[in-house]
Amino acid sequence: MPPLPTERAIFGIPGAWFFGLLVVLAIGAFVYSMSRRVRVLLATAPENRFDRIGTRIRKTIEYAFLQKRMFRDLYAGVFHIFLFTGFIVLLVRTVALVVEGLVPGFLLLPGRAGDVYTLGRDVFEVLVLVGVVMAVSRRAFARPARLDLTNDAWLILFLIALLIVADLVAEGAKVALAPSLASSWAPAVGAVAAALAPLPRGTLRGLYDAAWWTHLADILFFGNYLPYSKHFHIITSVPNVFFMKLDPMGRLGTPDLEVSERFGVSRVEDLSWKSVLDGYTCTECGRCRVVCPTALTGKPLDPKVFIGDVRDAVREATPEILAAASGRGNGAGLPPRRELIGGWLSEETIWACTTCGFCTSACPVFIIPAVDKITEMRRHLVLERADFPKEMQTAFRGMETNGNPWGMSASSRGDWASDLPVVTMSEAAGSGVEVLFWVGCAGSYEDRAKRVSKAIVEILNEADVSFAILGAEETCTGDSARRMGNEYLFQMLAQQNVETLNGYGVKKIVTNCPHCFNCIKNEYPVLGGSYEVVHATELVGSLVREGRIRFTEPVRETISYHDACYLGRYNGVYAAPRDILRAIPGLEVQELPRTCERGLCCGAGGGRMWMEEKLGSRINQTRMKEIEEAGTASVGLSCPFCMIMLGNAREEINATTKPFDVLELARRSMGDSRVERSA
Amino acid sequence: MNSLVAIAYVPDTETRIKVAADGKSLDETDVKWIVSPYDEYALEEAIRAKEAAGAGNVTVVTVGPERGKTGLRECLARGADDAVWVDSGDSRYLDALATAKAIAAVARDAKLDFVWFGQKGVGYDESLVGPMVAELLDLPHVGSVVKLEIAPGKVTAHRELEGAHEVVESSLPVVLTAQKGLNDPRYASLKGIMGAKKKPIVEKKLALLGIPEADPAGSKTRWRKLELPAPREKCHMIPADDPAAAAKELVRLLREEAKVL
Amino acid sequence: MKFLVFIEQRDGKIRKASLEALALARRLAGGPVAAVLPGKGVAPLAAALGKSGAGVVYVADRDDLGLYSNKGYVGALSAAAERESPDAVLIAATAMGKDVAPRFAARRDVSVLADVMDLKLEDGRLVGSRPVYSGKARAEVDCGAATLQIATTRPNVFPAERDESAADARVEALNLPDVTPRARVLRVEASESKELDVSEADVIVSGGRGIKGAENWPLIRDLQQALGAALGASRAVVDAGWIDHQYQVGQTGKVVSPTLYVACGISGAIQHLAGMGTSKVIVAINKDPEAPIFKVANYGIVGDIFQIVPEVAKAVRAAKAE
Repeated sequence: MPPLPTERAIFGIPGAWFFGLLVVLAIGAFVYSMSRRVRVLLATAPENRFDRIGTRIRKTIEYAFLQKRMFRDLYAGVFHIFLFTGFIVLLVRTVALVVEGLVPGFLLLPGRAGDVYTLGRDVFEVLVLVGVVMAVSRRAFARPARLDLTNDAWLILFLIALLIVADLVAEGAKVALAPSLASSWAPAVGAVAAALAPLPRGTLRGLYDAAWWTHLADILFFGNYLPYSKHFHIITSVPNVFFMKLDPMGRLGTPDLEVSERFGVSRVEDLSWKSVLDGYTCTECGRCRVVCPTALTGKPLDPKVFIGDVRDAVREATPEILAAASGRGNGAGLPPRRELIGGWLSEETIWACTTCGFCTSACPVFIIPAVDKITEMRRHLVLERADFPKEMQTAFRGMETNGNPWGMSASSRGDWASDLPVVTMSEAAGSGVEVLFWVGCAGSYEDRAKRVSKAIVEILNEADVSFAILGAEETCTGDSARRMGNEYLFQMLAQQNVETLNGYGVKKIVTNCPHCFNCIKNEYPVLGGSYEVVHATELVGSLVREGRIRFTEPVRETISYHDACYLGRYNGVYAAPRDILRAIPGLEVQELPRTCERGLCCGAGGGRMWMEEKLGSRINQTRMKEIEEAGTASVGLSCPFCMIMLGNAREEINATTKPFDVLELARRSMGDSRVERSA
Repeated sequence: MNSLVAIAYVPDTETRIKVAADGKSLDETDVKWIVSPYDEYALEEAIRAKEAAGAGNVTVVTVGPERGKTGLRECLARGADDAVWVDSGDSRYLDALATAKAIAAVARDAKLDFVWFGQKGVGYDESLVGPMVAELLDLPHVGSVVKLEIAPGKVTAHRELEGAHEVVESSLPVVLTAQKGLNDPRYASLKGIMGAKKKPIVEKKLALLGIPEADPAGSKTRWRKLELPAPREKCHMIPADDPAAAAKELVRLLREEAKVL
Repeated sequence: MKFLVFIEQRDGKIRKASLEALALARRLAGGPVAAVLPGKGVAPLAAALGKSGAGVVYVADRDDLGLYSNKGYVGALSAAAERESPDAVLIAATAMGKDVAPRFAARRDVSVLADVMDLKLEDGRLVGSRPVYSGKARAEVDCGAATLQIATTRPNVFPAERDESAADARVEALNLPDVTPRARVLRVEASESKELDVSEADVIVSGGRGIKGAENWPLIRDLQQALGAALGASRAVVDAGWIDHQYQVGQTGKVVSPTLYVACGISGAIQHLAGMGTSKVIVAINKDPEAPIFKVANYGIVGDIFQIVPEVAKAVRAAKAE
């Protein structure tokens, strides 16, 4: 057995002592770094993520260990699994190494178990190296736009590679010095040993020592470097996944405004601990920006930069937060901090978000880069400062006074149906209405959307569905108000609607507007309104399957389909509208390049419909260009906002692809209604 | 700078107007009520004057039925300091002179630099109360102000005429009526809204102010009837085969029928 | 029944609206009525008022009345009312009239039938019809218990009849004390020097995508000038860079509520309607008969704006010249 590296004196200190000193220092430093970060988590705003433990465990296994989302990018998924699993195995190795350094002849696992461990260690060391090579090549050659080539990144990859190489060299040298230690269970080590064998014993001994200490130093440094680098995710990603938001994406927090003294997020201290953890966990992979509508069109909001700024703001605020938490005053001696809003994050950045949810659905470790955090900041701007883009006031006043952002007369909300065979709930009261058709503001007031509402009425009547509308008793769901940060207005509107709906004992609601759909389905229950909510395409789809609607007239066109964010990404309704299109004879349905979860937003969400778009290029035009380039005659939609945005875009860029609501085409294909046929 | 801002709580401009059963008043079911938009410009300017001076009081007052208190709270939420409600008992048409006398009574109690009104209230659309209050208080007034500059002891106001602006200088105190374009009214913060809920509103009874016009028998203007114009549901389409003829017909209709030319 | 009519003049010209009020008073009275004419250098204008129905004109011609002052002009009206002791006073509801009438009324402890569009006499009592609720309804009003009845008349509604054979009015000078107004007009700035802001304007002409290019604004501006209107634009043309954002009317631009809104080549998408839907009278000119704007317009012409708009401008000028 070659002497242990710790038997040598280093700088005059006995090796074992030096080793012990290093380890103690390293652990001490690590604990210090970690404790600061954990204390910040404890000092920031509370959030309950300790519910549904069973689900959390299951999701952690699925996403943190099996890394489901990582495999959307197959190449990255593969090399990351190599690195990840390699690391876990090597963690065991490190512990063994430390003990080995103190106790000669220590073997972690004796016998056959030890052999399996040795093989595992060996294989994974090679896989990690392969992973590093794959990662480096991607960074150096393929250079995907989502990655930024930072020194941090190169350093980490170097440290990982060095770790493995040092270990292999140390083991290889050891085996070369004492061939009796060779194991057929460690082929890689064996290969290194064979390569090193020709070297003189003294060199081998020196190599063994140097490599061993290098390995140790690397791991001790690496561990301490983690909290300061984007690779902190190595420690935080499993908890970050465990504590993920289990609520539906489309359900934002509902603060009690009566008791709150402060509204929304304005300082780092207002962020919830989970938001801070999100910041710690970001690995800067950039998946969130790939289909981000604002990043793609030159707005100041890039989710990767946003979450990075949050993290940096937390870092800057840490001394003050810790001073305050430990009762050592308000940090008067510390240099002044940059403001979170206005300093780290500009107001244009905060207002730019369309809440499309792409960044949220893309992050492999379930960080919510923007949407929820941005809404909380908007709440501060609107509720506390009343400071927001001027044109939003028109939308707020409209919703406040007339129950719709356009400010059209509330009493004329049901007029679109005045000549149609539709009853209102107040007219039908008590006579067994099966489902309430929630029309929404667009469906009630906007020209094109009104035609779609009419088509839906005709389809429902054809299928003999017993339904009614609220007419002038319906008021805006408040989705826009909430997304723009006006939580007070949202809660007022929502409570009013819940009262009306509960007053009529409504059980089932169908709507064509994805924003209304998401809001009533996911957000109203918290305010006392729980109903079965379906999107109109889901209902019509089931009517088609049941044979209550037949598509008899062919529509001979090529058609693509643009997913509405609040229907698709937010609520997983991808199939229903496509099923309807496919059921219409003559339609040739094609998918757009960026489709389903990767669908590009039309630009209207997050209240952006009511704001001016002054920066960069137009989101709606960008999407319309993509649709136009797909070359179909038409594009199918399931959202009145998408219809307005893409309809405008079509004119602005002189495109030829015509937008249609899926249900307009369904109605067309239905041909004459029974009433018409019998006339 | 101390201001009294008189606000009118009126039906929202989008409201569909219906005549009540008595044939001479508004059917109030389903009416959405708002602070008259011109009064918002007045309130905003008063608050800005106080903020610019660093000190002062902005009091809002309304004369009318109880719903006016909601309007007062909206003004408190935006930054008014105090509110006064002169309870008129019911919501039948109240003659402008009665309203003016009630507001003058409230104004006399206070030391004011400005008495603000909207240039008209979008309910009765009379544009009378402001100047009447000025006369009752024997104060100068400037109407339809679109721009205001405040200097020690005086103001320079730009007022809107047909096709021109009149630049008027006045001593203080002064009565002013606000026109659109004077400023962009602020939105109330939630703090303001919550705070406003708790502020007390001073209540006075119109009947106790000794105003003869407050009583229907003594009113100096009366509504005898309220009528809706014949509803023109559809757009009147003018045939355009002959552009010159169509143009002449359009102008004729605008002049004689719509009476806007 | 005795009437006194306030006559407004600016820059040496009598306002047409005052002649309308004068002719109305003459009709209601069944004979010549009294009038009051304050100003500077206005005495020569007084006699001719006889053609419009004045029997006597009280003139207050003083240097210190050269620029309008409430104190001075209401003072003149008061002095004439002292001399004439009318039963009713009519004033045109111009900016000046809306300034004078309420102060005079409060001075006399009465109120005003404001901005009437119809006026008749019933047993010596004025009965007027006036717009209320932003013009969405009409109230029939009278002066209740008032002893002195005052009404302001909406301009451009009542005919300004002239009887060329009528005698000149008798002119009487009013002796007024010196007036030092506390609210003093420093100067009058004409609007020609600066563009009338669209949010203040009473009449707006707007151009949309149908104008096809920035070079065609003169087409719209011609109608704008004929109407003395402000210029507006739809978001589409602002986005296209054909005009500056300050002219944009709509949800994210300016929200306007003029008396007359003329939409040229504008389709009427909901974002635009949200900005002008409460206009009293909407005229739409568009070549697409399906354009949503026709659903909210009062008057519509389906046609080519390049042909129609110049004709409308011509017709407006002709009508205004009458």
